[in-house]
Amino acid sequence: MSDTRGRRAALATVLAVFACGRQPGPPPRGAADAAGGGVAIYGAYIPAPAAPDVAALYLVVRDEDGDGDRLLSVRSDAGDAELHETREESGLVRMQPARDGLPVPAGGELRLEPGGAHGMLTRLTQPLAVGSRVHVTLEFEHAGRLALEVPVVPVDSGVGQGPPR
Amino acid sequence: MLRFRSGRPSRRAGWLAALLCASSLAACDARDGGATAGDPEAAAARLGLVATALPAPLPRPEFSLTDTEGRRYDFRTATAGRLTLLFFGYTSCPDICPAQLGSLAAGLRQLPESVRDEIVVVFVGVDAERDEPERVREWLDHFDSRFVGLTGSEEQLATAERAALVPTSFVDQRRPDGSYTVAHASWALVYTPDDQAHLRYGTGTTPAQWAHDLGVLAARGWPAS
Repeated sequence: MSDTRGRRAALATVLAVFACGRQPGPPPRGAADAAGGGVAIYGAYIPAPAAPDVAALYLVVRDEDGDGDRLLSVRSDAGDAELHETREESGLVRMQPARDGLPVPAGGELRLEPGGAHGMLTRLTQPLAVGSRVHVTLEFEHAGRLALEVPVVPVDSGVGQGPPR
Repeated sequence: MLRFRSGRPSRRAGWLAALLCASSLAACDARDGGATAGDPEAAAARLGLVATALPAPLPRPEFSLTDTEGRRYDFRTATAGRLTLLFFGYTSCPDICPAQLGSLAAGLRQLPESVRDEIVVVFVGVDAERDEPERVREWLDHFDSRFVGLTGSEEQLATAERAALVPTSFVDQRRPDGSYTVAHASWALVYTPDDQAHLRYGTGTTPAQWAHDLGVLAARGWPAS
């Protein structure tokens, strides 16, 4: 490895090592979008997709009965839906399916938010226009199925601040 | 078309070697003492920036890709001397790419037109198979029609990533239906009028943070050390 290449590689790695975490979003406010079986869903939204074939679903699941739960799967009439996780490693951002679901901690929250866990919608069956609503069903290990209507919001509502109000 | 540009043992070994180099560099920096005039962290702090300071500046890179009009775009020449943000991502990215660019677009709208006009935003679509110029244009127009979109062949993209000193992207998770996700560089680099990057931004940067930092950088540039 030449000196220049070595130095460049080192710099690139310094960048990777210094990769920072995401900002936590605010706690849920207002009325739940759906509730039952010991969990409640807050602040669900789908940014209007910039690409014609893929979108993301964000929401907060709060454990209400102190027992915890697990979000097993997500379904939607808007297309194929899957639980996914985005993570950063070595300066790269990668996604992987959450095949075993996502835990809702006892007395705490599971947050599906930009740059973290999210619902991934693919093979969209309809254009998701701002102002429309998408039917979504969440399946939990203990709480069973919860259905909700999720609003489509402008794509540039930003990150780190939860859904637009 | 299958593409696997990374993850080979030789490259992993290279990164490991680089990591060791980086650790020793960091150790040297710590020994050589704190906030000197050239200390990027101290400079960023003085400007009140939320950006992460790079341990050493990176030169504005030279690479050529195709813009969304199908023309050759020489990054260094086209952006020389201008406040420039460089992103790597792909248009079929459901989560972080639209969140990141949406956040930036919202932040830019908080700035006066005269300031926005000074800032060049360049997005490189690293998915050679799907990121056709027209598709990149249509995608970027959802955020800001002034954003520059670039793409190219697999080899050209890898060359650009190497020139910018970011990790090389690669096809990651391939699903039974043929769709796939792409692993790509997570940070945005910011080049100041001195044609160097001193700062980078993570994926969680909010509109208010973008507006603040870009306003400061447009007004004051990067302080000469």
